[in-house]
Amino acid sequence: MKKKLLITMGCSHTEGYGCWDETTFSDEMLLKLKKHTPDNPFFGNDNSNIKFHTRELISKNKNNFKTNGWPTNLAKLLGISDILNLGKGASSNSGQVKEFFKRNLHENPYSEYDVTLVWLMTEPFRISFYINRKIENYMIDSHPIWKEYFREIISYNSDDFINGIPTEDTTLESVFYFNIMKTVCIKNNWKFHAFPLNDAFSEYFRKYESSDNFYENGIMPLKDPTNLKLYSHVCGHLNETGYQHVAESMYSKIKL
Amino acid sequence: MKKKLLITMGCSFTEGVGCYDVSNMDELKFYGDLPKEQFIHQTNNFHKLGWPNRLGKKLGYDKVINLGLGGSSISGQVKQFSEKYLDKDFSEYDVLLVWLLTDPSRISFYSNGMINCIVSNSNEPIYNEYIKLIDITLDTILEQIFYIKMMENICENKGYQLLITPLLKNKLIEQLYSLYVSDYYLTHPLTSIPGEIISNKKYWCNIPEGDCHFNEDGYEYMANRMNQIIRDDFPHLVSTKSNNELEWEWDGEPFKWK
Repeated sequence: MKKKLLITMGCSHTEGYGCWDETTFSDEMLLKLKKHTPDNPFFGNDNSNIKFHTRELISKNKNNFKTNGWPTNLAKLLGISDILNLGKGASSNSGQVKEFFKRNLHENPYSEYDVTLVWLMTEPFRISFYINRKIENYMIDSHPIWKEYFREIISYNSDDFINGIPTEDTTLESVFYFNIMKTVCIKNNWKFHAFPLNDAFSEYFRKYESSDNFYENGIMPLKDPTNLKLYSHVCGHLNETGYQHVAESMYSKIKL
Repeated sequence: MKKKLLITMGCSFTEGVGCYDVSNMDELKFYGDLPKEQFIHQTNNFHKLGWPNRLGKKLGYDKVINLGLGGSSISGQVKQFSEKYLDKDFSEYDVLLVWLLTDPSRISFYSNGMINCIVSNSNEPIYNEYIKLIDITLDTILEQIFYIKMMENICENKGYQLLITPLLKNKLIEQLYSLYVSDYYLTHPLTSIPGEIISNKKYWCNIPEGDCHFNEDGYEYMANRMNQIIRDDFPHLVSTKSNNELEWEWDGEPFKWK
């Protein structure tokens, strides 16, 4: 019987960002944290606490992200002991596929494994380019090149907006990368499951792609008052309990 | 024995731009500047007389589908193939895909439901921003390698034969060949069209004056060269039957989703 391997792809939500180990926080940070909630996280949009968001802090928490994120939880549910988690904070769908191909994983270096690939697809608005040999990802408003991209796609009359961003064209990019990954998995005889990060993206995705490998909505808990315990007051992402919930939701859909 | 299908991908040089029917032109203008009727007539001529149909005939193939599109980027070409042909069933054919690589610095994204390719001299703000960021001799090649790997993967999955070739030898292409060794290069090590064709104006259409696309003689030269390399190095891809009736279509028109 073959060994089993779970490969996971996605952004910060796949990296496990949000599973903080508070013993790594400074006294000053711990004191300030008390005032914050998942709705008004310590690392909020206002960047007022950005000085605490250091490389060192992330590095100290990497292991916690890894052991408590959804990939580890899902692997346990699926009875898989080996995991390759490619989740990377702030990455785009295209950047995630670039990283996958850069590592030549499409050539299937895991032929001795029974491989399952699960992709938690991120917001479709993000773009990526190779810049000075590195795969650089650009999120909303992060860089002049994203602004030019936005200007280009918004220049057409359209009513397909989510939070002010045109969604159909950006979703078509994601559909393209989804189909490429689907082809990789068919070729390598891997199981493939893709999930959307949010329901709105999922609706647009379904307009263009009917694949059974893509599951519509329902795995990310809504950030409403009943679910706040699933979210981190440090960064507003899911916490350990939230990622456990995501893994269970994914598992229930995969196993259907 | 299965029928043989040649699919071709590339930019204007694959679309056949340059095969003008001068007898049908009021003025020797770039095709994009012609009135609609003449534009249609000239582009039909391009599609009929470019290298893809010539190569298809020389190899004895039954059908050619040419996806070449002027101004398209490497990424746009892969997107187009994915949209139109990823789910197509060509099981009645042995398929050979020949991909004539274009300028790797072109980029693409979906815009208004269509693949929008942006060329290097477009002066589009997003392209200008992109160029500011990158090392053009390296980063563009890394993007190109990414899309080449995709097409390799698609063709391996589909059981298609794939041959990849540049038009001309230049620094960017040398960089590609030094950074990535594909099993699917038409020639390796890199060889390109001999200097003879580049320096000899008889192969260039020169419409409008100074335009560097090939004319029918140029595309015939290209097709002959590709045919010879395939016969020498990939004889299993040559049809053993002679075929005078070539079915062909140009399918380079971008698909619109909305």
